[in-house]
Amino acid sequence: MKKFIQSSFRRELLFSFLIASVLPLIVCCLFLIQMFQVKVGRDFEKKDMELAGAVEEQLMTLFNGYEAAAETICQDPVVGQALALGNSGRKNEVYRRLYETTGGYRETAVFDLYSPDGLCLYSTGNWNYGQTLPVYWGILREAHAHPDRMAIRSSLETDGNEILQFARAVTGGTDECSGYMVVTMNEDHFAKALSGTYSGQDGICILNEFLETVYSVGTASGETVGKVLRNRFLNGERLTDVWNNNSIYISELGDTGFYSVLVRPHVFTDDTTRSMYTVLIFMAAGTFLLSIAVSAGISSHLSRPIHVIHEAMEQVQEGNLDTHVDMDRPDEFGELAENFNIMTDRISFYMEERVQREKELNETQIAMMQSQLNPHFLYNTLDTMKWVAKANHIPELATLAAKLAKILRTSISNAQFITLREEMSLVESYAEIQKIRFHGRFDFQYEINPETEKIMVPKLIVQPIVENAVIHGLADAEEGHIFVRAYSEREELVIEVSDDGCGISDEVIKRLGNRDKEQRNGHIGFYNVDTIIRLYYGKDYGLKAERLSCGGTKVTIRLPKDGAREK
Amino acid sequence: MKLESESRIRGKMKKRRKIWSACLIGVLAGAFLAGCSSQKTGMEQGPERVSEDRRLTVYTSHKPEVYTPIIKEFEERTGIWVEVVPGGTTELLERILKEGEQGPCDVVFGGGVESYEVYKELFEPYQSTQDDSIVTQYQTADHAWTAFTELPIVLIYNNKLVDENLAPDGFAELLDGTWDGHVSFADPAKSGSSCTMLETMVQVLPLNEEEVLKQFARTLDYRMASGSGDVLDEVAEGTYLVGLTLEETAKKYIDRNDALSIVYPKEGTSAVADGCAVIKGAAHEENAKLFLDFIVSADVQRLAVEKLYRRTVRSDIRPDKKEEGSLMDFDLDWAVANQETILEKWADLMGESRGGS
Repeated sequence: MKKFIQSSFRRELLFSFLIASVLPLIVCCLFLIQMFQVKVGRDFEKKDMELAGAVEEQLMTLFNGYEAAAETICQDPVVGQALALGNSGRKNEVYRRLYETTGGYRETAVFDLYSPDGLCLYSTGNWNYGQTLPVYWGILREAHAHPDRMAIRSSLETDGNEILQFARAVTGGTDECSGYMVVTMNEDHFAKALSGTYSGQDGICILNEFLETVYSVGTASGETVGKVLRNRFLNGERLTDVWNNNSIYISELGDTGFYSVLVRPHVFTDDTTRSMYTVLIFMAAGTFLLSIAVSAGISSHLSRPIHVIHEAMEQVQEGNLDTHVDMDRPDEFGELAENFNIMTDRISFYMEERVQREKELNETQIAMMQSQLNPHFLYNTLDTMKWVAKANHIPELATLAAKLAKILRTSISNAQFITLREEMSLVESYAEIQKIRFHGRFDFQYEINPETEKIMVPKLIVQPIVENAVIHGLADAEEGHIFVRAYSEREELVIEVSDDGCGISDEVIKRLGNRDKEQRNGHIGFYNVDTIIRLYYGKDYGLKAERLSCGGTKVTIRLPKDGAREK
Repeated sequence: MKLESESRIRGKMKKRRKIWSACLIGVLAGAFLAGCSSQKTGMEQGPERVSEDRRLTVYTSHKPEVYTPIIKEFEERTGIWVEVVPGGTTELLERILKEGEQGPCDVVFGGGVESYEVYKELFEPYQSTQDDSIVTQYQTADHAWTAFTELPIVLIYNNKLVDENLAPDGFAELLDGTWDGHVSFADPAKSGSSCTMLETMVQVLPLNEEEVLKQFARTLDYRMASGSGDVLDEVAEGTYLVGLTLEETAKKYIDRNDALSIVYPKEGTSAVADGCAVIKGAAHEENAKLFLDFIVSADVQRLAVEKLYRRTVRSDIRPDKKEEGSLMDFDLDWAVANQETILEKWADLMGESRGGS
């Protein structure tokens, strides 16, 4: 993965952008959402708990009130007697006491007095007079079993309504049970008792010890919450888990064994949370796209000049030193381009300088080479010799001196190029000298094409070859012939120097062909001529030596007709 | 030289970066922990967990007004948490059959004892501690099930439309043509008590089986009510004038709507007994037995009589008011053996004569 990213500048850039933008965004948002949820959740939770506490308190106040009232009445001997006797003789008396003790609670409950057989004899309500409750069953049975305290039961009425009942045995101060006091709360009573404690989105329900619903209102109405809690309890799950986007608060109602449950809407419904996360995802996606766009933009902004310079460098590598980068950017890339241009200019300049110097060197070398052939003093001396010879009537000496002088004259002169005709006359002079030396042991002839006569050639290129022929070719011959021929062939001037001597050996051919300075010993002429021709005309021209089939040697000189390559 | 310093710079930057990112992560982690740690606290946990030995699952076909007070009292007295699964008798018994011995049901409560006889294999035989107090009629030899209450079959009529003197006095009158087309009767294929009514008529009337069924079908004009509850509505609303139902249902109905009156057939009538049984392989067998004992205990039986309009199966409880009607000796075994054939014959009679309704 790392390699993948690092292999491209673009990808590195993109990745860095992503890390710098998307990641912090996500982290911040998650963090904020979490914190927000926690903070607000806590605040609301506190309020909810207060509310739950208020509900609990409200109910407990009533229950305690009932208990207090019941205790008073149940201990009252007058009430005890009246119930035991079952007559209504002291009806008003009983009612007075009943109403006194239950003052303030009759809004939220009905207070009844039952005979020991379970017949309702007195009631603060409308419906219960004359009703019976089984004494062997339910609440009266329990009240009878524990005459010193209140029994609490919820039950289902025949009309389908749940009621909550408190009962206490009436003892009238004695040890006998002479009846029962029953406090009944139905749905309306609960509504009144709890009014003002909750709002429209809340729900309250009251459950007995077996988590069966006694009363429910608001969002908890119906037996749903009770059933849910009972199921959770029986399955061992947590009771206070969120239900239907609501929070559940359970509080015990004193020591009655009953519970009041408050259902409050959860602050953060699934919808809210989901929409928060959706927003986060969209923002992250947007930032992601922005990162890509920006990184693409910047990377191309940066990579284009690099690309341009890169290409220019490739051009320079191929030898194109005229390459120039046109970039008028104000930033570092512009500077880079400018520096590049300066650099190539310098390189170009140095290259030219070098070439120039080499040329100069070559020319100097050539000049030096040629000066090997040119002592001025010799020329003057020869001139004197000629005159002395003439004065002393020695014609051969005069010829030798004159010819030698002629040769030297040409050699000394500054002109680097002479016509072929002039060169051949020089060669002829040389041949004369050698004829005298060798007592006519050889013959020299030449034939040049009239059209080639005026062609300019470097001076002293034929003479050394002829010299070679004389020294090496005809070295042991009694009689030899040297023949020079010059003609034009297409664009070239061809000069052939042939002799019928012993023929050049392969070894020598090879050495000459080698063009290596070290090997010249004795063949300096050949080498020099070859070098000069190459220097002037390039490596395509020069000398070639071959052995003739009929015996002898032929050296061919090739030059371009149109003269030396202009510097 | 240049390259060297660059790598050193890189090294320094890396270190700095590491320190920064460590700090950042630390801060974030701390914040997260602080945030997450505040789960719901301060919530009272509510009641303690219930152990297995204080639980019971009851499948019941009784109505809520019947089973709720009984089960509530049982819970209060024993502290056992009861889970109630309501449903129809056959439906529940089939379900118990399907769920097998590993099923959740511990006790089945309610439904005619004829059905219990058919599904006897599902039950764990148990002789209730109260067995001696139960009338001999319902003391079974194998104790596969225990009777809870008995509900006599009665005739009802609409007392606004039918004069008291002209009201039917027994089963025979239902067949003699007087009331053709005016009788409401629930489909015995769907209602166990309806089936018992047919069997009762067959047993109590002097006619043979085919005759009884044929004549009764004719009386009904080959039409039946869809459910036993509909019978009372149909008679009370005047759609039909006479109906066959159970005493309990009728008495309960009359409390709300006095358009109905009850007639106890002069030939004598049978009572549909409903039962209760412990399931074989019950997870809470002990509690199931406690429940069974409870429902035939004196208190519950008394409540059934006084508040639930039922008749007790206990011999030692005599209701305050004298019970009306004479109960015949209903041959339960015969009824169980012939139930299927009777239903088939009845379906034939009803089906062929309906002719595409």
